[in-house]
Amino acid sequence: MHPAAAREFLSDPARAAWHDQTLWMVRVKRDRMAARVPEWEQLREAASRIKEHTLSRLAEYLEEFSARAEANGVRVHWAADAEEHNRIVHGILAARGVTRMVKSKSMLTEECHLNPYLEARGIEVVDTDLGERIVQFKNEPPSHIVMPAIHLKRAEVGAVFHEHLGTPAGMEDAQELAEAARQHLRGHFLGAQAALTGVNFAIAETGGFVVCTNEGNADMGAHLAPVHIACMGIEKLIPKAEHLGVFLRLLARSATGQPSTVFSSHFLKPRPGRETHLVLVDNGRSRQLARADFRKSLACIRCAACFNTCPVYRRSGGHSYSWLISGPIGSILAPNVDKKAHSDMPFASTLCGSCTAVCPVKIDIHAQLLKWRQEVVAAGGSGRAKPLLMRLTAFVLRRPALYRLGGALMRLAGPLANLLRLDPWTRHRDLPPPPARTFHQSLRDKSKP
Amino acid sequence: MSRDRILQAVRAAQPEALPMPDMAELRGMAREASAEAFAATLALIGAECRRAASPGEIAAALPAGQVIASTVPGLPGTLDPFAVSDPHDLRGVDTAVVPGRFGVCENGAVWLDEGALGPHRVLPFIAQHLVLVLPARELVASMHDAYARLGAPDTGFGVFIAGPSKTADIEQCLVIGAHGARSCTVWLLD
Amino acid sequence: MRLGLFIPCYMDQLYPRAAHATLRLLERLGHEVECPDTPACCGQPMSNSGHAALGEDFVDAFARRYAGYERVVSPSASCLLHLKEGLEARGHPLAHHAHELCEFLHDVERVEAFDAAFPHRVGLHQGCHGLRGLGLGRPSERMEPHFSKPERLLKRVRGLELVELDRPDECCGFGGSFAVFESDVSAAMGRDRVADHAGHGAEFITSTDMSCLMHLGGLAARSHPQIKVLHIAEILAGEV
Repeated sequence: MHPAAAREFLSDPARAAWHDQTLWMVRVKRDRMAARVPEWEQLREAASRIKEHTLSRLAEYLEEFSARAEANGVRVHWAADAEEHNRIVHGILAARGVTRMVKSKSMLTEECHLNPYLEARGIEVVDTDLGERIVQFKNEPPSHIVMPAIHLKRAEVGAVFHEHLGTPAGMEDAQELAEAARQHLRGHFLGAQAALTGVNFAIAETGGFVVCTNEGNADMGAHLAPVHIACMGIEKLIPKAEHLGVFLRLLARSATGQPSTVFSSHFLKPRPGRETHLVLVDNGRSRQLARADFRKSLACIRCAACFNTCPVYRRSGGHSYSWLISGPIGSILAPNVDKKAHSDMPFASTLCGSCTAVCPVKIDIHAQLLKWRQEVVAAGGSGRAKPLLMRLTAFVLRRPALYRLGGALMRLAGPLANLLRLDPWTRHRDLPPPPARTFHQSLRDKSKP
Repeated sequence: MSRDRILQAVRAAQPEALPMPDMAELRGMAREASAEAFAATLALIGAECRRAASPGEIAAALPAGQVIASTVPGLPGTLDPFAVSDPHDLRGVDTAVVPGRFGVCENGAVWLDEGALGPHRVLPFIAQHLVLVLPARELVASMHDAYARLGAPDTGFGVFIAGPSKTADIEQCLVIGAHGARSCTVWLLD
Repeated sequence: MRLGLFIPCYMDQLYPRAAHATLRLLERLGHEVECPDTPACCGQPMSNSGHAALGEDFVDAFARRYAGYERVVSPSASCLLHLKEGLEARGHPLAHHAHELCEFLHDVERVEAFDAAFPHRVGLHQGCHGLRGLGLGRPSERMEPHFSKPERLLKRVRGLELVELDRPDECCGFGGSFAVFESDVSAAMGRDRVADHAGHGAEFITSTDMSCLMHLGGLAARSHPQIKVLHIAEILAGEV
């Protein structure tokens, strides 16, 4: 459960403070970069409306996109769920005798648990994004969708590289560590028989797709290996190439505070004599599309600005959430995947609304969190104690006599609770010194003749 | 078939069609493109902007004793990428010299299309250093202008490259030179 | 005008001084103010805990009780936001006549000066529901010109010095039942807020929400006992 995991995360206050401060700096960089674009809020509005429009005609755009992609020579596959996605990818690889594949960042393949599926079938998968490679070595899920290893300190990365890459013990310099990874992964790029990438945007009118990275790992993989497989959720579509102007202006500024990602690669046709496969995956997205209250969550462009701004995420870390996409956006996507298993995620928020205000596509994240809370509770996903407590509270508050009695008892008990510090409130903070009379008592006193 | 099942599910789930937003206002905003603005953005993203009057000037500035692969007309390197059949054989390239079609002032990105890359898409990524050559007048202000200019794609692959490859995956420390080029120099050719 | 004053339950019980300050501020402006004596819960605790149905009656009760007033004012942005959203969902006209105190003073009354002096360094905690929900100011995420109604009002108090904060509008971590069920994260957030105010030499922390202040004050009592919390009404009423 999130509260317990968060408590564990916070038990190392120095590290927790570092995590908070580091991600807050990313938010500050985002602010600085966004402030340089005078029409920022207009861009957000445009992005929001393009996505809403696309979702309202998604079937048509999927048909248009897949037809054009096929006309461009791309082999298009459709996967209803994670299992089918994995089967398709494996099928492509197995038919070509591929045993070594490099993969750039794709949260979709994480969602489908593709790596263990392929590894169990004798295919080596090497994650090539530096952060992804680090967590792959550690056999951990990414703790952040843009900065997968942000939960680790450089000494820990050094230890991981020492174990897996044979770098000298105690190497802690980020430059040296990144160089070691560069050399290590270059070997894998050159030896890979297939490359898998994610997709940031797929353009219906052209059948092309765009992949954005800073490291260049998607391109190193895709342009060297004879087979390129691109996997995308069906919500990644946008209607026109000119819409990329809006999204590419927003994406990197929101994600890392850069004016652009270093590489925005536009794939349209396979290299001559080579293969490009594109796997379109539903895996619950059409179910979310049908939920009017939660549909807008599919507009997400995975910039993670909501992670960086979220005061709860920053102080609890990605691994405190029960799903691999954590943070605010993960907390409105996860219940669609499994309402029971992720019932605590919508509660890991104060509903402060910073996520909604920062979101480049204007997803009403905090409002959806509140709505998911209702759904989760209705499905019995919040245990027994909480509902009982809420019923009791409502019962008392509806009855003036009980309310006054309860209030008086609470005011009496406050000082004692402050001494004992046993309950979740006073464990951390004092209750205020109780006033002698309530506001209404003193009003009544005054109105007496 | 999954295709039909997915499309059917999506069709059943999608709401009534909403209008496509009009992009005219964003597109039409007046923005100035200038070499100064472009160079300032490049400096911000860890790239270098230089000016040259002729390809010869650029050639003279390239380091000696390196493996240089160029696809810029009039600027021969030491390795002809057109003579290489397997892209893996570009692994030893120190510097790739590639012509850009235009640059974008707001983010320092340079558009390269397949024609400019020669036979191997991987060239600007696999080289240790990247030199982009661009006519100085070929600058646009924003990404809206960039896509207005690109229009319908006529290239199997194209890429905006904005500076050297980088990562901040270790403790958010910025490291230049992740998997792609360790440096990026953009020459504006007058 | 005839105003209905909505004092939420926890203020009635724990912060009568802030409630009285609100009452007097409004009366001094020449209004006839009434505050119905009923358990005055807005229903937000139930809704935020996923039991919105249990809280619906409270919105209905509020609508009935306060429908007769020209305007309704409350010194609790968070409760008021919840009520307004409930009223809007019901299409109830009261939604447009209910105001958070600062909004009322700033937009409706357009108060230019307060008969108040407060020669202290004050940190303004911008409660999230007032800021991002009711639009009392521009949240830092948005790329629009800065404004803050509570800040403008505080600047009209003689001698008051507002401190700059490192993080001008980060959530304090109260979050209603979040403070109890996620008490560790809640407290960590609040401690960081208190430290930000303390680091800039604030003697007082003020806000449009006593709930945030109950949390921040309770933390400060243990880590920075020199820092006190005051509801913004208490400062504007000039009674401290």
